[in-house]
Amino acid sequence: MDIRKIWLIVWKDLRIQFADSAGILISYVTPIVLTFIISLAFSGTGAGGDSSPITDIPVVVVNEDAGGAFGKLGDQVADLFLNPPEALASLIEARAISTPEEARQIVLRGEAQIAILIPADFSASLNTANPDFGKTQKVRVEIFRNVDALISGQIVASIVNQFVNSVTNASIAVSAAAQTNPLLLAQANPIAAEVAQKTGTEDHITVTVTEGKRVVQQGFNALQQFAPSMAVFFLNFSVAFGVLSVMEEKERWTLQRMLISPTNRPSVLIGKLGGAYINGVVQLTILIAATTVLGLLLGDPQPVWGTDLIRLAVMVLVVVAASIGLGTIIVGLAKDRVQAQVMINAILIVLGLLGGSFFANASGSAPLGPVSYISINYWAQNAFTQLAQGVFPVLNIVVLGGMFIGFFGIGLGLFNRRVGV
Amino acid sequence: MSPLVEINNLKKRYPPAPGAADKEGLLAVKGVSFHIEKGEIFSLLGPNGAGKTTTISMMSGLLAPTEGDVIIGGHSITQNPLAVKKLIGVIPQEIALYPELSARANLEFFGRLYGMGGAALRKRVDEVLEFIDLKDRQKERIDTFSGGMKRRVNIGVGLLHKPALVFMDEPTVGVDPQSRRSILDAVKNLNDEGMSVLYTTHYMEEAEELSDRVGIIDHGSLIALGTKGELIQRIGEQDALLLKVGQENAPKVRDLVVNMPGVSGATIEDDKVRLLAGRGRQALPAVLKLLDDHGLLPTSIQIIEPNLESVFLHMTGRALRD
Repeated sequence: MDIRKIWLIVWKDLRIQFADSAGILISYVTPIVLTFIISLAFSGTGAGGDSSPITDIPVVVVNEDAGGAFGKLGDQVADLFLNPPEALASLIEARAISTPEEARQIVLRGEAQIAILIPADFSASLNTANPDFGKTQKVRVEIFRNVDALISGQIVASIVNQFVNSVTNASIAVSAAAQTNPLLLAQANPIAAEVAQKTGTEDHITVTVTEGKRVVQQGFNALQQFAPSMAVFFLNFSVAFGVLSVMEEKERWTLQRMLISPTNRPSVLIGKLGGAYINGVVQLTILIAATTVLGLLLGDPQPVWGTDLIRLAVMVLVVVAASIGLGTIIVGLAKDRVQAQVMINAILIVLGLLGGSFFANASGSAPLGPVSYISINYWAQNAFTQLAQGVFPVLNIVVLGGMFIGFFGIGLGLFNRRVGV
Repeated sequence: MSPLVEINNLKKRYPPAPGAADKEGLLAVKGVSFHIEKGEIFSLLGPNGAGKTTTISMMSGLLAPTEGDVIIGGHSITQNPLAVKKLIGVIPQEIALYPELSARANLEFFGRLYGMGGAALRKRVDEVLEFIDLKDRQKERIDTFSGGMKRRVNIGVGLLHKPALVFMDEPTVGVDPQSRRSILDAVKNLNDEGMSVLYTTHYMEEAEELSDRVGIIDHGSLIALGTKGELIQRIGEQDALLLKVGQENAPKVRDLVVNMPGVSGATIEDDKVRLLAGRGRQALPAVLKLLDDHGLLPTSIQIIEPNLESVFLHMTGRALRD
């Protein structure tokens, strides 16, 4: 193996790539322009996060209430979110969780924006008959929110506050009525309203809003999805055509000319495939830089590709490797260059569609169900989106690495049989 | 002194195509043997598909021989291909260049593959650009060049590392007459500088003009080998003198010349007499003197000498371009 000659071939391919204006247009300009257009179409401004309409706020509820003199009032709070009235139905999407720790983790993972933590002494604290009520004895509810879910957190806190206050007021009214005349229980509500008026705006509840640094942002950020999806979509084409260039070189006899020189065959093959790989890495890096700038220009508060440059670099290397594997197997399966070109175009467009390259996917889940899992695009763009949101996508790396090994292993055998390097 | 190139019983069988009825595949080269001396121009002459390119591909290490071996400069292409590749330069019939790169960039890239670099490479590239007369356009992309200019760069790449032996595989295919002339002159110049040349062609005139020796190849077999004279002598072809004397005089002329020394026969063809002689040019003065003495000087004379085309025709029953 001659590293100097391998690099010479890689460098030659890079020069050819950048000498081709049509290639630059397809590999660099088109994905940036498409990212810009599609991001605008799906988000209005290109920025995501809290600028998206607030609906279906993902909430988890932990109800540890042990009950009190008036039963388990925590159940009513939980029920308000788990089975919301019509007015709240479109705003809240809640589910019950058993422990506060689990709920906090769910928020940290970005699977929910808010956790409502109802403590064990919730009902007991609502005993308005206690002389310390409102003084040292206060009702406590913790709202644990994602650091980015400022508005959602305020909304949920406000709902909890309002509800608990009304329960408290009712409880005060009921207590007062019961102490004076049990027959007044029937008029508990007007009495409660009166009490509420008398108590003014004083809250009997302490709603503690805590926040955790988000690990995954649940909200949809168009740039964070479409910058990776367009980059990966066009990367696959560049890399596959890079692999195909071995066939082109054989047709124009430059491959034979390299093989006739005192350069061993593995060096030529590694140089050629290495050229496609380095080209892919360069392309993806430039697209990452360009779309990051695009995000800044559009005022996106979140870095499009995240801030962890080392992990981002690892992802780039893994994604381009998987792309090389895919290109090798496609070219290896083709009988000749023309058929390979047709196959590249057809297969990569289908994989782009299956992987969800062209439509908004706020949830980040497989857009077309399990069939999306066969698409390198899904795994790659999902990995970049996760990375942007602070998660190191280990599963995606394993899958993409597996795709590289599988595709490249099989593809190289087929490819070598066709090209005979 | 041992020859520069020795080829012994070289065979190449291509594997059969998937699903083909013939399970043995095509035997493209059927046991070819020849040698090339240092400083010699050796031509492989044969029609398209005769096995010339396959032979060159095996000699340059591009294809593995099915049988036999090629020894160049004492190194076996099967045992020590890298040593052989340093000695040879290959000029393919295809324009094996990168159209997106300049002439100079192409030359430098391939020069580096041959281990050249630095000032030595730059100097050699300058020399080659001078040789192919493209120094003033060295920085222009190949895809802006004419066919003839591309062909010249293609040749230049093969000469960069000053090989002891150059393989030129049909280098004049598809080029205009001016470029063709320039290529043939370049081959002679290279040979004058001491380079040995293996030249493949299906143009008989080129083989005749350039070669010290010629190997005629057909259907993968070397059917004849030698100098042009040896090959013609081998098939016993004679020169023909075609004398235009008019229909009335033709019988008289035939009777006069048919018994001259060195003349083996004479026939009438319309207003001409065809005279067969072992060495036509040498017999011509005596023939003309005899006819002048009888007031029967011809109005035109054509000398038809046997050539390699005649040899190929004689040996295969087909013309070279069939």
